[in-house]
Amino acid sequence: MANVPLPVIALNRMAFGPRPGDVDRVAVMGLPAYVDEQLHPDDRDEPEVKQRLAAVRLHIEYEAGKDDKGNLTYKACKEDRPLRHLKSSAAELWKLTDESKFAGEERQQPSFEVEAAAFVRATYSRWQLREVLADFWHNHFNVNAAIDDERAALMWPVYDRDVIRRHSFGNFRQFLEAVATSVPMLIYLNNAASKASPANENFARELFELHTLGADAYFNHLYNRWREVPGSLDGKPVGYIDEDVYEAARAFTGWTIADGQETDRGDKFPNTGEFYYYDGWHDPYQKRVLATEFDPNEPALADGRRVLDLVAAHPATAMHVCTKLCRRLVADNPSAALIDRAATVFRESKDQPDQIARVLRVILLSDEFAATWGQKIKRPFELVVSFLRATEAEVRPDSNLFGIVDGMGQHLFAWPTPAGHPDMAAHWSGTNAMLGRWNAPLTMMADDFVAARFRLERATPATLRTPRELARFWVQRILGYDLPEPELIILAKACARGADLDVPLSVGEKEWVDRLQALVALVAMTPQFQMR
Amino acid sequence: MPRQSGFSRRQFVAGCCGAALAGGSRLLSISFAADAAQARSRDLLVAIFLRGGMDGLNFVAPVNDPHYVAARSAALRLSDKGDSAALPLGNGPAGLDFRIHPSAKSLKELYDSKQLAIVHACGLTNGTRSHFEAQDLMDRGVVDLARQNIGTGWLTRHLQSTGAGGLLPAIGTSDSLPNSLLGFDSAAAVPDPNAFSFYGDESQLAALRSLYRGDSLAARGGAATLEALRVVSSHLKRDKDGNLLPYQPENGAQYPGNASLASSLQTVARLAKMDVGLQCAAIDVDGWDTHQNQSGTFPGLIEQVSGALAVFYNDMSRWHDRLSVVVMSEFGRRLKSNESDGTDHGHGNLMLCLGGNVNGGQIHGRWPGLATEQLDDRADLAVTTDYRAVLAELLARRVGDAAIASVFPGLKKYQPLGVFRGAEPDGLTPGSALS
Repeated sequence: MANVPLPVIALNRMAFGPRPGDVDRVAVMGLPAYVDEQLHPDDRDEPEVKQRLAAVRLHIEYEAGKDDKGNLTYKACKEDRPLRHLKSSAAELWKLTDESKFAGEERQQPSFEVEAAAFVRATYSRWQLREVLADFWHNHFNVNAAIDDERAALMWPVYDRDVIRRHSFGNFRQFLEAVATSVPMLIYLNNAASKASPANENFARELFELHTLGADAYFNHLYNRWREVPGSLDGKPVGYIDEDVYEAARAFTGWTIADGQETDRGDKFPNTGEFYYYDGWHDPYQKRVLATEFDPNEPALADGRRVLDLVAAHPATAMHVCTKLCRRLVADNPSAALIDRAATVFRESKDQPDQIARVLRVILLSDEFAATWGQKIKRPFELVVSFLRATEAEVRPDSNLFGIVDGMGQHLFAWPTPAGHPDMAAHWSGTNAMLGRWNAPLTMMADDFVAARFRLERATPATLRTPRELARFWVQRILGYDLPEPELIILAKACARGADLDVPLSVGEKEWVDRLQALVALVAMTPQFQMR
Repeated sequence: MPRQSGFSRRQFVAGCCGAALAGGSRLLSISFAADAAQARSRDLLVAIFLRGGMDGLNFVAPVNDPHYVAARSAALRLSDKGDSAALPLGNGPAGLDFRIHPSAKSLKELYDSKQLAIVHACGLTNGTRSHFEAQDLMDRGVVDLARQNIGTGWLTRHLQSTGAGGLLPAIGTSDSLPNSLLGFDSAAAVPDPNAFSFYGDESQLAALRSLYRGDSLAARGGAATLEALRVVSSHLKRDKDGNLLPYQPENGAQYPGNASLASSLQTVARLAKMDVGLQCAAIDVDGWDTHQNQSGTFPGLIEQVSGALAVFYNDMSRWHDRLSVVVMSEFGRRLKSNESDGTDHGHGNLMLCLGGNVNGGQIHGRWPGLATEQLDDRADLAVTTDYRAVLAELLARRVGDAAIASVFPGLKKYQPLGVFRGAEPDGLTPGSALS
């Protein structure tokens, strides 16, 4: 701990690891200025990111489509295609739902494009905190884009851009409504199909348990005895019960998608791919959510919005969301004092447009943030991107790069259950995960891996020739701090291959690159590089 | 571009079980006699967890109970009529006509041949309807985490109490280990033995052995990985050039290639036969949270479980006398279906127990009934058997574990239902108090 400088800590937790030069920059400007800078990102992509995005080619391939009579409906496709959907509107994307004109692969492609963009931005964007938070909120409001209903993957650019990224530093109540009315979430947690009665409780349950109050505030043993929840009789219950879930599910009936369907009673929805409220499915009668009575026959959307008001303002929500933010940014088990301070700011700024940014500021400038190291294991996406950043690899994402992270058990935008990827070390340090971590740098530096190109020989100063010097340089470059001599020697030996550690290597050009790769791969395999 | 990990992201693809069923049809010709030469004192324990809340009332149910018929849309209940009539199970409780889902043909065969027992209306005695809470509690073998703050899984404590030795005592078959093995450092996650290899060279491997020492979580994980690598790679069968030979199932069993449970079970069979001391395998199967479109997905899910278990059981014929498989889920689903062709989170559920020493062909447990006043919270199948009673009986009678009190803290009594044959270890008698 003692030898890990503060900029290295900050860049591993509020960024995807340092690129060369970053540590010095943060050291000069100081952490408070860096935090303030990162909390005010430019919404646009920087020129370098734009250029990298423009260079991406994603493979897409499908056979020609034919209708029942054998007539051609769409042509076969096999190409490496530039990204084209990142800026598309909901209406533009929705046109691809026409199965008589477009193959299913065309509806899945938008989510792959966002996945490629996530790699590019995490690797190259200077707005690193924005990328970290996008990853955090994608998991907090997890949707599996790989479900059978392809419309979730289709609308992914809108979900990523207008829901997750737009609100990452914003107001939590507004964020909640953007999520609740987003097509991917409406599909994934089934609210789009929820009708009175019985309503489908899937969304309402996860709204309470995962998005807002959290399982710690679930009084399951009280089930329907709402008066027994402490605080209820004053209208301020400290937690929720199953009855709240059922009532909230009723409140959200009718929150669905303008998908052109015709209902049992003969109404036809518009077909625009936007959020749609359909009164014919709404359960209009009185409800009681969190000890608050709702009148019957409220206006359109009022019931659901009132639920969102109640859960967004609930103290348990502040605790739950702040615990997760501290867990992401500081340690698996952050202190109660830090969570408390963050939760206080969360509650006090609940009506502010920059509520979340205010909370982040408290966490990132806390003593605990600066004084904690190594109590997190990087998730695979963090591990891979931090390696690409430290080595200044040329990155052009493709399915093979996605596969590296998938193979270690992290499925970007495709985690199956609504809780999102686990954020505790035990999940990511098992045998299969660890083996994947060791194999990843070797795979990425292999000749046939085109998604990342390495120029280690160019990055290595020409004055450094001995294995010990090289090991010291690459440890400092990749980890950001020095290792004790015994460990340094183990790494230097990987480069020396039997030669003396302090004698300049005298090898050919190809062998030189080979030795550097063996060394760099091993530095990336150290226990230290797994942690942040 | 296909999803790189499409196979793991969509674990169930309907209609891939033809091979599984073909394998299962040979079951009746198998001899179940113990192979004395290979007999061991402890069963291999395979614990399968259906994650998401499997709808037990769509799997095995009393089709002639009017409460059942009234509560569910026809698409979400079993029936005794028509082309898709459910398959009758004899010996149902309460004189009711209990049937099993028509896609579970292989399970019906196993039931009829007395290898498979069903325990119904069992589960967690905590009423939580949260997936994550219920799964965590069951994985840890407790009922109340606040009261019994337990940092290890039930399989972990079982393996510790029986002094698990061997090269590879426990495995999980997913990317990461389930919490039932939480805290057991020598458990290994091995989804596919063929892919379980290090791409670097010997010198890098030697360096890793030196680097991964000490007590940090990363160091412990690394050390366990190095050991599992050594064991698996040294026991895989190779040709004379060192190339891996494909696994050869026995008895004509054919594992379907693209089904997650089948490939998990194939991994278990393969490692079990390597003689590396495998004692426990924990398998997760996702996809059971059927709030919507259940009539579309559920038959495929059941067919996968049924087919995969049959193929595995066939492949493991020589082991039947020392093999116990349990299948469970965190809770059942509500008796009454919702308006989107689905069911919401419920309570009581069934467990399946498969093995040569199972008192099969029976539905165990007390059936509580489905009338409103018989339901849990007037909505869900009640729990009349603590799921831990079934697991405790399995551990005691089939694996000789006497330390039930520490494996299942808070369980008051050891009360076997008679699902498994075998004698209790010293110090444990049916009805004895535990804590």
